[in-house]
Amino acid sequence: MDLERLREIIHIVEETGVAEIEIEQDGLRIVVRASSSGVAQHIVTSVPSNSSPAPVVDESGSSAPASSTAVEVRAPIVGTFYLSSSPDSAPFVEVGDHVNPGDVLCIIEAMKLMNEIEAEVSGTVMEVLVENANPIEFDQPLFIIEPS
Amino acid sequence: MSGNRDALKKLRIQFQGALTTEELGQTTRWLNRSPSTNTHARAWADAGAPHGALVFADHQTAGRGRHDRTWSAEPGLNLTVSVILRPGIRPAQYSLITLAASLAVLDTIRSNCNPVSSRIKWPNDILVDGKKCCGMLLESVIGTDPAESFVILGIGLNVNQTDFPDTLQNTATSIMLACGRPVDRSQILADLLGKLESILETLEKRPESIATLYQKEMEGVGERMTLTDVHTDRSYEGVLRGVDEAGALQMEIESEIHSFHAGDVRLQTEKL
Repeated sequence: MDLERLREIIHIVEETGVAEIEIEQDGLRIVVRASSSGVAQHIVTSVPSNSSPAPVVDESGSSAPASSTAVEVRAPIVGTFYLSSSPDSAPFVEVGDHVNPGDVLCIIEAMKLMNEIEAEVSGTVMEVLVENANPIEFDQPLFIIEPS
Repeated sequence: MSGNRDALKKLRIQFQGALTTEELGQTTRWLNRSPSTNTHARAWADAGAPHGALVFADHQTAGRGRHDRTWSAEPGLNLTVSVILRPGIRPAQYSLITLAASLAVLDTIRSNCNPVSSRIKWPNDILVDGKKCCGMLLESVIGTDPAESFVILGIGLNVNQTDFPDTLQNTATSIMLACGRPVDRSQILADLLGKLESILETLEKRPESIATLYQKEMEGVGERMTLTDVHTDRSYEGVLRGVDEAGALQMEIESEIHSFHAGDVRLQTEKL
């Protein structure tokens, strides 16, 4: 599938307001999901499991060295994303860190409600997808974790 | 120490006599001292505490605010409590609890005292006669199973404290300072839980109404303001336009409305 076709699919999601479009063609599956603001912002491409590991591509186009088993951690609420508990504290996690279920990955603050996002699997943090103190949307991907 | 215990027992009995709620405050823990009622409540919630369970500490020794700031209150004079909430709303709506709790505290202060002015400074500072009377810290846990999700609502309400450290002298007040007489803490707490239960019911039935109720009580709408993110030291200046339906602050900057979910607000007219 060429890039022009991919752009068309993204435009369809943005213009129609549908939540998700999934297309499978020549062994390649493409899913385009709308964010809560209706803007297509995340593209996951994958291939059947008998093929080589699939890349995970975010909106900036950078590819993560994650396999199809990589787990995305998404935002359960809208808010501001913090990688540490205070300006002077070390970040909860960094790329390459090993995490266990229950380990705090970040805090999302919304109207002084602090929500600690915890890892649900044990594994390695492959990517931190949001910059510290940036606003985030509902369901926005925050981290990619490769389960161990 | 036994004097403290007796005083606490008396407070608990008076509170139970005054309580009119169905769920909030029906299960309680009364502590003479606790480093942080929120930390205690979090462990209790993890162990299965029911909706509405209340932790009261007569002396909170290491109270926490946002971003690891401290909250200090003199023992035996104020209310430092945490309530465990398992509300019937989607976790994505949990931030509306901040607005609802602010309205409940404001209503409690007004019905127990008659301050010249009482307003809410975004998102949940309660200002009485222009000074801060109450602070809150809300922490939520959102599990994959909604039944495992909960919110800890920590409230520090200045009730009968009349002396504040020099650094807070011009910015802090209490209900007693506003009404000129001591106030019964058990009555205030029972009243607060009743009002909180009532507004949480409104939140569950008509979540869209909370922001409208809140905006009517909001300090500084139409004023110039600055919002600062303490993590980055970034500041934004503009005119406060209120909140959106989720409670996010709306600031007009160069004729465009921007939404903010976090940050310290300073109003231009503030004396602080």
